[in-house]
Amino acid sequence: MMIKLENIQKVFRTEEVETVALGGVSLEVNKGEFVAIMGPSGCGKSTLLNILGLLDNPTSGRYWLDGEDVGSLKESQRTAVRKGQIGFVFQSFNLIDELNVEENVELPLTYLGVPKKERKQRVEEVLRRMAISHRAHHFPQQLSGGQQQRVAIARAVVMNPKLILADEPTGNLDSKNGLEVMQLLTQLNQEGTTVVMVTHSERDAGYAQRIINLFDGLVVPEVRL
Amino acid sequence: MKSNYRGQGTLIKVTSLVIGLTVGLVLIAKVQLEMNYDRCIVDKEHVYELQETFQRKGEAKQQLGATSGGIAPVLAREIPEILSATRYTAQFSEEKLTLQDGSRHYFREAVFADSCFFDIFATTVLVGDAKQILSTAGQCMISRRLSEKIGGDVVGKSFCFASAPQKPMTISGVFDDYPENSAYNSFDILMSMPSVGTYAWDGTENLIGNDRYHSYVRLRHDTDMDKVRKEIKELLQRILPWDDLKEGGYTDAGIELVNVTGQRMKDTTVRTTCIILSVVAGVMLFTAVMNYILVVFSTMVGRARQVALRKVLGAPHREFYLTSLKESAVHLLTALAVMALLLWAGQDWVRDLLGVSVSTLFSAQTFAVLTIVCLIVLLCCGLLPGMIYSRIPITYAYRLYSESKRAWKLSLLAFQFVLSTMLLCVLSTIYRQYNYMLQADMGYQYDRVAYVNVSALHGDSIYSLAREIENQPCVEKAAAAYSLFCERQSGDNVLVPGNPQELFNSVNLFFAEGGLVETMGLKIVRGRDFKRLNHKGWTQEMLVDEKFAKKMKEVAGIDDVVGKQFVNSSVGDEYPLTVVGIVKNFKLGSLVSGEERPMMVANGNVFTHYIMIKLQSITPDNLQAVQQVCDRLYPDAELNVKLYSNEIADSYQETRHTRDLIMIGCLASLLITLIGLIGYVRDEVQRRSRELAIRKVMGAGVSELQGLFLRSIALIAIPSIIVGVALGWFFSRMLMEQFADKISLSWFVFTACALFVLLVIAAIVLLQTYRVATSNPVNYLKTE
Repeated sequence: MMIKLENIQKVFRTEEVETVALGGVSLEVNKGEFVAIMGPSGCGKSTLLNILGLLDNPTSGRYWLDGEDVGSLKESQRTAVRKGQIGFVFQSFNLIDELNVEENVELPLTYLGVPKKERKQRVEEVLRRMAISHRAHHFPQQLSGGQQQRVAIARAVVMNPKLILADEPTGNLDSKNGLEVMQLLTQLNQEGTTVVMVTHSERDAGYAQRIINLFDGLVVPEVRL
Repeated sequence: MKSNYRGQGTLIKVTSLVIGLTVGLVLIAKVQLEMNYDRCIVDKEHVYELQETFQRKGEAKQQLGATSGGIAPVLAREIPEILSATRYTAQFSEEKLTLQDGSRHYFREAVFADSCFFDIFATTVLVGDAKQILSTAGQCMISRRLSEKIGGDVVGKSFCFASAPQKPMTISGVFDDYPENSAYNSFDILMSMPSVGTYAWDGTENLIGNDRYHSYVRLRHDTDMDKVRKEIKELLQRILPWDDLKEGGYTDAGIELVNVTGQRMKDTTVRTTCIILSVVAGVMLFTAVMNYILVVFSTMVGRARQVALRKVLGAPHREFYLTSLKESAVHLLTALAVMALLLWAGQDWVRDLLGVSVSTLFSAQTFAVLTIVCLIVLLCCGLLPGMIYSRIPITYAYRLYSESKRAWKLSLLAFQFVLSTMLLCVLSTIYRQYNYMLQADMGYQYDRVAYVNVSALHGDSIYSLAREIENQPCVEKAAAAYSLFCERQSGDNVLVPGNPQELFNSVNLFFAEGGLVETMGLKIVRGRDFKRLNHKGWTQEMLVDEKFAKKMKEVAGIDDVVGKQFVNSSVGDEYPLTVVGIVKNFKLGSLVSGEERPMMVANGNVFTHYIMIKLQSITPDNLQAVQQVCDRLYPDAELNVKLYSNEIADSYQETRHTRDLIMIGCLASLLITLIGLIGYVRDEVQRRSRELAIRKVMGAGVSELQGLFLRSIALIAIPSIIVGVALGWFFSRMLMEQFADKISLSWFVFTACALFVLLVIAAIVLLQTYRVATSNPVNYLKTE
């Protein structure tokens, strides 16, 4: 089992308002599975993805990642678990403007402490795989949206993560580039990586093996495709 | 463009200006007052101080800042180019006078002055005919402040000085106080020159010897100085007793004319202090202005769209300059108002620190310069931001302003790091020097020594009081002495009996009782101490120091001075003194002045001004016990028991003030720099928050994110700090030049200063970045 959530709740509190983003989500994702999370805006998709990606802690409930209980880890512990295990792909790419393609992709390896020589080798390899090697020394602003997302995927997979979390990965792309990105994610999944993707797109969800629907912070019954 | 004072870092801007202007303007005003020192001297360009010069066989020519009493009047009579001449000589200071009605009043200084005193040193004569008063024996004029203290209506009243109780002086006039930035501000009583004989040996007509008179002349405007010097030389050839001088070992004697213009700034200590204070003031103002501009850069994001939109609508560049100037003027005026409040609240402290009142600091004398400084600050704070706003591209009207201006910000920060480090290094030097002076081995022990000024008592009384004090169980030893070791000492020439040649000049401590050696912890290296007399009187015994013995061997070939007789020029050859012992060299005066002459002192309890007391321990009870003895035996004399260590500390007051001023400057500069640094890091964190969040998602830990900022700041901080240390070294060396006895500059201390600044910078960066480094990265990614 890659992911197991048990009654996960996430409540955002301000002085005046209390907002329940997730009202008790329980779900399981197997290793090597490709799961899509769908639902209307504000239903808690991104919040769920953040919890899955250890970017945020749930207010209550339990979370096992690859068998390890990670539901109530401290910030530093979350960073340590996240490092090397989870790759992220965002809708807005989230590349660092000051770094070129090669440096952006190299970043997670740097934080993993991979030696420079090996880093270089792995970055070259992944860029080749993503067919973006010819842009290795370009900066993000010099690339098209599709190219930027390919770089983002390259950055997500360069440390061979067990899990890829993608938040609307085609949201900012035209259909042609969107298709390319989905094919890449599918290919990664076929190679054994677990993929959890948040999407609004029925078409993109079609690439997944299973769809989890969220509504008002709760999981609605699963549909197996 | 509309003026905006909200969300534009107004508080930081005004705070920086308040700190910078308060310290900067006060120091500039102080330096300005030093540069305008003695403005009371009329027609300064043509006023000259007369300074006596003399030369002994085989020695370098020496120049004294004084003359014998008769020199100025003779020159005024004989040299046609001299329009007027005056002289004065100090007699009493910091004591009390007693009026006929028995009331006592403290005064600062009483001097003898001749009738032309006000011709050279101008001030308003409020009551009386100055020329007539200062020509009449037994009459004096007093300052306005003393007159007010006495209660006004002072003419005709008589008083006696505490140290000359039987010799009355009559008040016949009142003069306005001299300015605070004047050597004559302390003059409270001007006694007529013919009164000298009443209180001291009358040397008013002497042409050689008794050279205690400060003499001044004013020359005609078209005077040929070479001609005057030649005339003076010829006159001295005619009137000086050259045979006596040659017999005394002198090969030459003369009078040098020294123009009084800028004389104050010729003093190394004053000049160095002014340079250091100017640098600190400049640093403060510069740092404050830079911080102001730094904040403008930092808050640019919030304003760029408004500026760009106005440009789109056709606003001319002039509008941005005017608005910026208007905002700066409001900030500056607010800062000046806060500064005025601060100075008003701390006026006593400022006076203690700078020796001048706040009203004098910000008077007509300094107004012009301070106004110019404020205008420069206004222009820098107004025009530079105006220029920056006018250069904002129109495109920012419809897209987010994203220019980091990092190069500008880092350059400004770099300057601040340089200046703060420099001030910290200078502060460390002056701090160490001050502590060194307080703790330096003076060659005598004073940690348990107290003293009483007994100038108001006569010989018998002094002897009795010293013995009574010595009988107290808390007192280990007590002995009367003519002077305190830490005071500036006068000297006399030393001769061998039967030989009229004066061998060398030696510090003359005049008289000390047997037991002073033990009281002050001096060491006898050969011979013995004085034998204690059991009555009022003196003997022809003398103690000298090792320098005296060495000098005597050099100039007279005398191997062993113990048992030998010598003549002291102030006592005369009728009373040769026999050396009974040699004391180990000890420091006379302070470590600033550095007295290098040999020392001699005769055995006696007459003409002594102090009783030195070595206590078992310095406790309030022990001091009180001694004070009670003084009060019981001489209730009317107002004797005060004081700690000798306080006297030592007071002698380094100037150094302490300089240290305090640099410390204030340093702290203020560091504060402004830290405000700037905090603002810079905060803005950088905000600007790079998305990047930080991405890095965090990619696996960066807290330390790695903090390291990003540390590295970028370190790149600018380390070179800046190195430059700051080098500048600090330069100014520290300059500062140390004024001390005769000084610490050696240590690279270790400078490195510690550099590390301290670096640590403070690192701490600020770590604290400022900790929040974003530990918070949920999603929050920052959401902002996109």
